Amino acid sequence: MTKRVIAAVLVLSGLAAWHLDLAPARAVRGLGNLLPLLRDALPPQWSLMRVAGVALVETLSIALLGTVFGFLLALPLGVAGARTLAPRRVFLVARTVSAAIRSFPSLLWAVVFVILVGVHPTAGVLAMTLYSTGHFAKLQAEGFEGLPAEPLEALRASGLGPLAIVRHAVLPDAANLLVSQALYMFDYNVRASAIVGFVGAGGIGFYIARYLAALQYDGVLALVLVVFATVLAIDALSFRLRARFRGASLEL
Amino acid sequence: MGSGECVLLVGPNGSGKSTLLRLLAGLLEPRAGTVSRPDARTPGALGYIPQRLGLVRHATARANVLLGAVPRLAGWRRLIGTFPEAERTAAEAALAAVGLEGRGDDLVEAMSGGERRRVALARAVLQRPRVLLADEFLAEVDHVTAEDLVDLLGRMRRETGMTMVVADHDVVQTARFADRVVVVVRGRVVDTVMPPAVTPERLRSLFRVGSAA
Repeated sequence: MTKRVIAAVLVLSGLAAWHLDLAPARAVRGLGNLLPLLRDALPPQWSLMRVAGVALVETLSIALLGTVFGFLLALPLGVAGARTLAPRRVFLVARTVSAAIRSFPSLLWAVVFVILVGVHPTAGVLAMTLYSTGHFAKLQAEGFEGLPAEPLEALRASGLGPLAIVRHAVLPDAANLLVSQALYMFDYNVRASAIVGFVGAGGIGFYIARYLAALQYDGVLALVLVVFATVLAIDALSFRLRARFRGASLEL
Repeated sequence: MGSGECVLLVGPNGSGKSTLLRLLAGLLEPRAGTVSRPDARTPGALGYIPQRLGLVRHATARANVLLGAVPRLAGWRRLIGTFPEAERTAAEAALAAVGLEGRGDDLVEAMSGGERRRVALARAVLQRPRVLLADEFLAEVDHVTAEDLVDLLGRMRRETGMTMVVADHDVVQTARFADRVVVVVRGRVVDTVMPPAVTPERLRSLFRVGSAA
């Protein structure tokens, strides 16, 4: 069994490389360009820090609003997409809708909204909202499905309807999980928000794209380093926040 | 069953006790025959304590007890989840009644098995259902705790006059306060005995008879 799996992976990888006409020689020759690239990029253009700071706040704002709106929009979809909470038909519709939203990468949503609302951070917020909604809906639905069924049954037996059951048994039981998912998604959205700026949806990505187009790699490096530092900071912060929420009760 | 009656369901594992309770709770539809449950549609008329108690583990004891009051809340309060002061006071009283005074802020997941059962009872006390169904309520607790819990159940019954159906196998404990003991084996009622006649020997022989049939 194991041998067959390994053989299958090897054969498929070989086919993929053949299909792409993969050229190791190109990669080796490319290494020669690394030195000139580094020479252009170093030292980073530190004078950009002020611009980067302002743009970064914009990126973080886009990520935050996208996460918050996405979280709220996803909740009904998440409940409707949980096999244990919704009738089969509702469940199928909800899962299809969230899968459809998810099949658009965030950059594509950004292009769509830049066309609709113009070059403005609003486009970024709308793009991140939709993108997060699709992912939150899936995460939440799966989280709800993993909850024990007995509390729901106890409430159903006492004559409560589905909305009251979600409010009083599902949400309190899932609260810590939901917080954890939201922090994870925010962390992810900061990086994605930096990218949506490439097409004019606001934030630091706009500047990265500009400096990239102008071949000013020292500027690009300075901006990317700012994003890197931010991601590290958020990583540390969300770890602490998650640790704080674990074992705490979030009574709504 | 008569109103205010207390029936104990006993039978070996897999005999259909839980299924019968779930039918009574309206969580299962009978494949044949009918289940007649007067005023089952009235919110809060029926209380059900499942095998693993059905508590919200990540919430506090108080929040779990207050769940018993949810069926009484008016429409919007029920969805937002704001409890009137009277219900909050009653919840504290219910906690005190089961011996958990001052433990309202404790998380259920951090409580022992016996304490969790008390929380489930306090929830039922606050709900004041006309019929209370409890599945294997005394499983997994030690003898002393089981005795305490049986006393609590007995007191609840005297004070509220609620009808009770309790499924269990710790028969000697529960038989003390039951009016009737119904023996279920392989999905069939094989006998009904009155508590004084319930002895482990008698039950063993009934379980065997039912299995052979």
